[in-house]
Amino acid sequence: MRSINKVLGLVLAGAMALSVGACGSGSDNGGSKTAGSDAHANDSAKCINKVKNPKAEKVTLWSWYPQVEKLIDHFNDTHNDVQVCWTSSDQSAKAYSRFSTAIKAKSGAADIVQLEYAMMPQYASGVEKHLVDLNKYGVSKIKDNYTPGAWKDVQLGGNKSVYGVPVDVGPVVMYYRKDIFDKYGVQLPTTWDEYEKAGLELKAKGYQGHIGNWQPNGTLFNYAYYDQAGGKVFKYSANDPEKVGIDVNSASVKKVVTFWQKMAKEGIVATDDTDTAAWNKKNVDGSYATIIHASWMVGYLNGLSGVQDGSIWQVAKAPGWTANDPAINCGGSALTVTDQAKDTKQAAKVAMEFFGDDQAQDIAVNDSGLYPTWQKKLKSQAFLDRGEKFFNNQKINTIIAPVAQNYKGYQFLPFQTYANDEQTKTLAAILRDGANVDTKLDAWEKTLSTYAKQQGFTVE
Amino acid sequence: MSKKKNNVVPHGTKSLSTTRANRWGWIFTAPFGIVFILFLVVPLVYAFFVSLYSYTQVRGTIFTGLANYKRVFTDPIFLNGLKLVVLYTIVMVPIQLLFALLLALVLDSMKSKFASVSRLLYFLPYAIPVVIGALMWGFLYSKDMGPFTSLFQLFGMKAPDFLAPGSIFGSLVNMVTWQWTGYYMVILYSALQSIPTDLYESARIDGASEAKIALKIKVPMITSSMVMVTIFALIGTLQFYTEPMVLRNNANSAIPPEYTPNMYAQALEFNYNQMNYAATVSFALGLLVVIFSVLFMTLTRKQSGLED
Amino acid sequence: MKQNIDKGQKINKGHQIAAKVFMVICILYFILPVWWLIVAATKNNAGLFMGTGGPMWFDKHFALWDNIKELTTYQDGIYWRWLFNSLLYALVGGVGATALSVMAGYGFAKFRFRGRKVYFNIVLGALMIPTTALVIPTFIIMTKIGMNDTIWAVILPSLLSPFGTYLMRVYCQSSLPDEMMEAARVDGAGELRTFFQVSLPIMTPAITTVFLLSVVNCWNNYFLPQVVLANTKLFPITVGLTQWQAKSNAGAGVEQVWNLITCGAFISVIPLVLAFLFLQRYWVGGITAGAVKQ
Repeated sequence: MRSINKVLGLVLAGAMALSVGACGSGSDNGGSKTAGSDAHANDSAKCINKVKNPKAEKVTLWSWYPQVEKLIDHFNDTHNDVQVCWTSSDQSAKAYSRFSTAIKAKSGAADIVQLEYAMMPQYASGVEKHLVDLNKYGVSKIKDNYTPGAWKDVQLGGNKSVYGVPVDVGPVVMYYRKDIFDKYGVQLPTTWDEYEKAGLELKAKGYQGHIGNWQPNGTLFNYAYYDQAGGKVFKYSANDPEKVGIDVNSASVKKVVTFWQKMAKEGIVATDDTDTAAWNKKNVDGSYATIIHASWMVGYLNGLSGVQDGSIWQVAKAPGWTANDPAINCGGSALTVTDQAKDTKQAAKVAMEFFGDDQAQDIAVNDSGLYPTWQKKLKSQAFLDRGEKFFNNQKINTIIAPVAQNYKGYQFLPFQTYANDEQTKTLAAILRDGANVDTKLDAWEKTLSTYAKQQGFTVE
Repeated sequence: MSKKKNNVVPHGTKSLSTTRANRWGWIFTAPFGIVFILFLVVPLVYAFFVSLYSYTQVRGTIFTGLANYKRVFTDPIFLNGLKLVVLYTIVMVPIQLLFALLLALVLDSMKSKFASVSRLLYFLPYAIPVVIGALMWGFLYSKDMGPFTSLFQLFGMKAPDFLAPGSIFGSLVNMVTWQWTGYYMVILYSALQSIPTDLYESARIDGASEAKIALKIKVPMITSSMVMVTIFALIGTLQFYTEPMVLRNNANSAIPPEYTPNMYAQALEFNYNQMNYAATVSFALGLLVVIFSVLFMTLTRKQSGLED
Repeated sequence: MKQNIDKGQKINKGHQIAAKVFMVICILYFILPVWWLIVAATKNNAGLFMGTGGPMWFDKHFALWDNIKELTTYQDGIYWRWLFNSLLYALVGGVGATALSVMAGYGFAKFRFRGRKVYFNIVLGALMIPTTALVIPTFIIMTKIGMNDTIWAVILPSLLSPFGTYLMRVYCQSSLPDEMMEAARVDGAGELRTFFQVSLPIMTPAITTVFLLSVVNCWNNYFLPQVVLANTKLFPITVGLTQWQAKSNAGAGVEQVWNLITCGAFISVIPLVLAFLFLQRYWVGGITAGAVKQ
């Protein structure tokens, strides 16, 4: 019977199309909605996980953290009055499109949604104000539990509102193949200058692979590289959500890109796309002597450790332009409460408590491979002293944790996906086809500011 | 064959009265018509309505009339996507048709166990879902995981990078050809098989070469099947989506998210949050295809067996 | 004269060999990717990435059974659910689309009802509209009426097959003699009885073709379910496997399931391949429907 209703519904949709028209309809999908307080709205939600106490109030969650089910089980085991109901495991791009869809439909979003820091401005700018400011729900009390950089990220460049609870970051370090450097008798580089020299030396001594890889589609990575050279490419502040700053063709960016283009031309770095099967293979088969990557590379390499003996890998600080370059970061995410939350207060509470105890942090670090933003974990001696078996028991956190601590936070555009896609095209042309750096970066700048203006933003 | 149609049936016979024809014609076609309206007409009309509005992040949604169409038909991304689809059509459809025809003719001229086994093997890729075919080719094309690197090494050559921007076109053409040629071959082969052999036996006795028989006698006999295959191939090419979308996972920077108009619409809708403009792209594409297919069907009316 | 024939036969022999060589090359072309899949299905991640036998040969470690076992345990064996969903969508969608097309094609061919010309021309115009162009608008509508994320969102749109209707009409027009229908009518049969008892049997070959087409279409369906489904339990195999691919591409270590992707892909192609092999007799006959008009 229900299906018949659905069919009828569809018939009506035709008529609806006429009356509703385009119906994203202006300002009414904006922020000043009253918070939800319906404790029973999720009673019939279909959960992917098994809810321990079905009688308790449910809060729905979208998340794609690895092993998130373990975290949910832990939460549900330790809470009686409220239970987390996991309703979508879609990840990144797919998750965001799901969220955008729910926003358009004005229903269907979970109470809590995992968002990368870089994606948060999209949902909290212009007429799109779909993230709840957690200040009203006492988020300031837990501020000091987190690293300052991560906290900046969830404030979206502003200083008033807090749009999420930080979960993880992606401190960038250098993973290197000790065996390769030993075999060819090459010194491990600590600056970019040395990096290039080491690459040339490896090549001259007969190493068949590349010293590293610059990925045109490595989106957030590449922003981290620019930042290291002093390039603040994007500006956005939640205080002034109709203004953006775009500076992708600054001297710093040009310096970085020119440098990598030069190394690509010299044949010492590869320009492979990340996140492909081939890239995963090359990470472990000795094609790259170093991988400059975020902390979660530990998990990548570890997960494929069936493939090889990990003891040949070691971790070092990423090369820098000077001795005191800022700590660089790639990615990371937060738990945000949406404006569709059925019981906003309860959802905010869950978001704040979900990762907020020792056991949850243990699961997050050990099983999910997340790099903590939680000071207690980050500073714990056990965490710092832990030898990572895969890396021949090297205490890798003594290198990675300071990078996480020193991260100052980045700002991202409210249309970051578009900027990323355009970056991929730009960098592919520069690195693979040897296109002119200045021309291409200027064109990218122009494309982005045109788009920003077309979307109604003031461009600085 | 039987070209005497209903139109010569005299009125007033027991055969079919006008009212009865009216009633039953609609009864038989109505279920299809309902689905047709619901899932084709309504979405298109709806897309049109949505396309009359514009959305920007700062100002929200406003009515802009036909402005989106002005934008879409001057949008280099859309126009490039169209150009690409046209190019794929021009390259892919003839390749598939000729390749399938060649295979069918060769198979038709051979009557052996070997021929019937190979016919099945040619057909095999059709039974594999396009997504999985694309997934497989993604691995095969890979420099590091596919067989071509070592294969070319055998001959002392460097394998081309099948996933580079310059070669992605050919790689996609190959995927589609691999997947569908076998199916088209079977259609054409069946048609060839139904040609009465005495039609070309005499030519054979007169000493006509097989090639000549094929070109002069067999091919003209199966034009309607070839039209059919062409329509198939056109439908497949115009909705070009799955192959580039799946291959994109292996060639992220060679296949941009807006590679074909369909992919562009999807990127607009899901990645850039521009529902109205996405609908414009969908509708514009649909409109162009309708114009094209009306032209095509009119031109091939004779061959397709529809004239009455 | 005799000489001539001899010469002709010699050329024929040369042709024969050339034809055979050509066919063998073609077999290799069509079959090698499938061979790769078979081999890849028997490897674990280590074998896939660093296997001893290269991409086209087996690894020293034969992991097919382990992979199958893992398919039944990974995410509670959701893989088999996906396979079942694919079969369900393909069958229901295929049967439904065929039924609608057969009826409509018959109606268009055999009844000169009022509005037929316009009606059919509209269908013709829509013949080549890419269903993919309709996905986004369909999706927006379904979001509004809350039909997203149900099996109906996948099945109902797949009932539409303008091409099947077109094919059935062509077939009925050329291969279903009016005289037979008239004879039935003279005997007092109603239109429904004429349809089921007289016309349908004659249409069988074309029905097979349309059915085959629709089933393969639904089996291939990717864009629509990818867009309208959120619940992983409703995914067809195509969407499921690409989700695993995305996950393996981008996910952390524990989520790299390349071995499950290759093995899962391999298993999922078996049903249709077997169906085609064993039902050869039917579809080869039926496919001729495309070639009815000489």
